Amino acid sequence: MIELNSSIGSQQALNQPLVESLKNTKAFQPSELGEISKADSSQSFGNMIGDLVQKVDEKGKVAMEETNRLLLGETDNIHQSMIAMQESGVAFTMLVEVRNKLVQSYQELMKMPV
Amino acid sequence: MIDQILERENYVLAKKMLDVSQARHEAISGNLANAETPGYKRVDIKANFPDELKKLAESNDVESISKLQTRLETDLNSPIVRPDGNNVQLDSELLKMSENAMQYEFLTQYTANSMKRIKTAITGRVQ
Amino acid sequence: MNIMPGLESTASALAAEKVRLDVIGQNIANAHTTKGPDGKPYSRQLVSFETKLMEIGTNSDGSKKMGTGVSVKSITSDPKSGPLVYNPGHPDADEKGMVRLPNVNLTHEMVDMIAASRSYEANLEVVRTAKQMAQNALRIGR
Repeated sequence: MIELNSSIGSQQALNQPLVESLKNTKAFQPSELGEISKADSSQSFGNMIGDLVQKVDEKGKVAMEETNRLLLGETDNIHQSMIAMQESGVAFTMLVEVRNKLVQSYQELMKMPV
Repeated sequence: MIDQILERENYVLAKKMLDVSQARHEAISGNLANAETPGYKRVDIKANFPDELKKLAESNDVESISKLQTRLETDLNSPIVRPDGNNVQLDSELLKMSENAMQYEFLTQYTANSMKRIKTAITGRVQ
Repeated sequence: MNIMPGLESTASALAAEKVRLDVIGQNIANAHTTKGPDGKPYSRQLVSFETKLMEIGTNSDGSKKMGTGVSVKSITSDPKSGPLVYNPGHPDADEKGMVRLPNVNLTHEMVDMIAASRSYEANLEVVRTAKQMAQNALRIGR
């Protein structure tokens, strides 16, 4: 019961930043609907993906470093190593899902009759 | 994109509390090891640490939460239990250790569940 | 790999308490020894502890993390002399028929023994808790 409550609470807490981040992506700004035909060079989709890949890489490096430190006995915090590994896993999963959705939407686009 | 999800205040707070909990366990082990040493004074985390943490949590400053350092200090307020000046109460110390272990378990559960929720939200399949 | 940090101080406490229990056992065994190898009655041994700073791990910045362990400073004899008892038939009786018994008070030794074993149990509990905490941390990924 307690787990259910905390999971609902955390899910609500999770939805908030996701919604915020979605609002921030340029494509969804309602005020710019009129300018949707203009190519937006300041925050293009490619840049966003590039950013994400960089972040995933960073997280992967941090995870490897933390695990190394644990293996060599340079740290006592095994929870930090576990958390770092999980975070890099989650970041990677996100990247994979974004890629999947992109490929899927591209295929949908291709199927559209001209 | 990924930072906004992984820098939620609760989550960062939980990560910091894991460090604090471990430091506290080490302090309590030292206390229990010296329960019979003459003149030993028990050590614990700073008495005003919960207030500091509460202030930081209210300020919503995620950076400073992750930079907060735990500090151990000698506790001179605990009553002296033996004529040689030792102020470690065995039962009270064991109780604190159990509480601390429970807190650590809760924090690891919370972190694990957070991760599971994030993964579920990302992949759309229930983990 | 330091998965259960902080256990060096607990290990030192377990060793120290074991020494203390051994000495108490020796005292109790010799509670009625009226003539030791030096010709005098057995003298009660006292264990004295002191805090010892020991390395229990590494900090996040690479420096050594110090914890407070315990070590046996010394095992000394109690200089107080034991009671004189009138027992003229005893082989170690002096010319007045008095025998000097060791200065071991069995009640004191029993109380000491209980305190030492309680402390030993408490430190065992610390080891169990540390193991449980480490297992919980490993479950983060599951």
